Amino acid sequence: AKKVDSKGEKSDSEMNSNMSDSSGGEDADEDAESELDDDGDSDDEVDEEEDDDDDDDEEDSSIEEYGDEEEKDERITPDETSAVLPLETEGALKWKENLSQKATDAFLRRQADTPNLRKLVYGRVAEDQS
Amino acid sequence: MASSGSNSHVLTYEGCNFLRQRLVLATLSNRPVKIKKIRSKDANPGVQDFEASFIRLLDRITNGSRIEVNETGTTVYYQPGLLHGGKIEHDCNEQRAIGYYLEALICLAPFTKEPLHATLRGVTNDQVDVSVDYLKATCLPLLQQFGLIANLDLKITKRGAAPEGGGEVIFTCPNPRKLRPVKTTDFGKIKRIRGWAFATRVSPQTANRIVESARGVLNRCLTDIYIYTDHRKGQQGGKSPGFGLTLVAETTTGVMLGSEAVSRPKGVDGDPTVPEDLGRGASKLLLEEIYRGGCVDSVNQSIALLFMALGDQDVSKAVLGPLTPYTIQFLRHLQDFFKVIFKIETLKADDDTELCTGADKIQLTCIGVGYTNLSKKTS
Repeated sequence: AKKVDSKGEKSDSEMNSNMSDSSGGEDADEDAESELDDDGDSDDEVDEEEDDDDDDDEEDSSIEEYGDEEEKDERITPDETSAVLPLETEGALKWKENLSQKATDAFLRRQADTPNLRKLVYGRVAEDQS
Repeated sequence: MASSGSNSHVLTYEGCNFLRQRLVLATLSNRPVKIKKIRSKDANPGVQDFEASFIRLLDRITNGSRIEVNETGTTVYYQPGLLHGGKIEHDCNEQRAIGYYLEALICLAPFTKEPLHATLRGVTNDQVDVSVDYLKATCLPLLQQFGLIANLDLKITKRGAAPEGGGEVIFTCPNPRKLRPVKTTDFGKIKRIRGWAFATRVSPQTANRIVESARGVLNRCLTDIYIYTDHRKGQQGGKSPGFGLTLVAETTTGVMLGSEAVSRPKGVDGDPTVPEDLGRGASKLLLEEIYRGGCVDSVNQSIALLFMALGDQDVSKAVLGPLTPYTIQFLRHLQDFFKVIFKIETLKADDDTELCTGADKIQLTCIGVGYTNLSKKTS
């Protein structure tokens, strides 16, 4: 049971790290917190089941069970599914995140670095003359 | 005419871009210019009606110009004559607003033989070009810095919105022997904001709605705001309905920074313009212009640079906001026609010296070519 617990914690921390990687906004943090709470509940349920099942089951199977359990939980609570779904398709849609923020940053960056205006206006020839 | 010495060498350009700049600079430098491949691959090749109208205006203000346009209109050869000026009248093509023609006239007017008194008819406000209100509010104060003070006036006798126009403006400008070199480096802080909201052939209430929404944005920054409303009816109002707003921010050192917004013309695809949106839009554009800052606003950059280059043989200096693409090309053309190269320095905003936020300012320095108006009669 202890091993399963540690596994659960690991998955939680992974999720958190994923969330913080993908979006640094405040909303994302709130989501992550709510996620934590939900998972804590599910862990408790897993523990109870483990106690009932005794030690006959191998570690692998228990982990699988745990996985199944989690999936069921996802189906039951609609809030959680909405939070987890983007994680699965994250790779495909990552570029779409914070597009306006990225555009703002790019614009400000371009404005901040001043090119050689003389070269920009008159070209290299004028540059050499002066 | 130009004391820098007229050169018979023909300058050749390609494409329809910057046609106005090229013809104006050719006239001032008295150098013939040939422009090829004007929309040669376009479905509608050659010079457009508004460009033909512009060439006719040049012909009217000069004496003895030779203009050759080939059959398809894709090549224009222009050999400038003497800048005569005097009293001229011109019906501007409705494809472009009067501002398109007036900007060029402003460049030429100080160098004419007779003081210019031009009557231009057509569209006073459209979404593409600078409006006459804008030029009146920002460009005329700029011209005064160069010593053009007496008889400098722009009067809007009739207003005409796009697409049919029907407006009329009268522009008068003196012709001094020499332009004064300028050194404008201090742009000061915003002192007050003035505005002109116009409405023609629509409800007079429209102008009030524009004013209210514009004040909604600007009142948070400044209290000294006054926006005049200008509602014209009958003959004074032109042929098409329209409304718009021109805003000008004046700084403590007399620099004018402007912005404007005009309603979508009648018969153009898309939703009709809402006066409230227009007022807010113009206000935000003004904030953008203030962010860019400098001693000359972005529309008038090229005019200021031209008069600096053609000034007396002395150092002229101006601090501008970020250069517009139009200005960058204008600097290249000034090099082609007058061999004037500006010294361009970027001034970083210092945190400790002054509250100087916004975009980086650029200081342009040049020595004028010493252009003297030799054709002016001496009494």
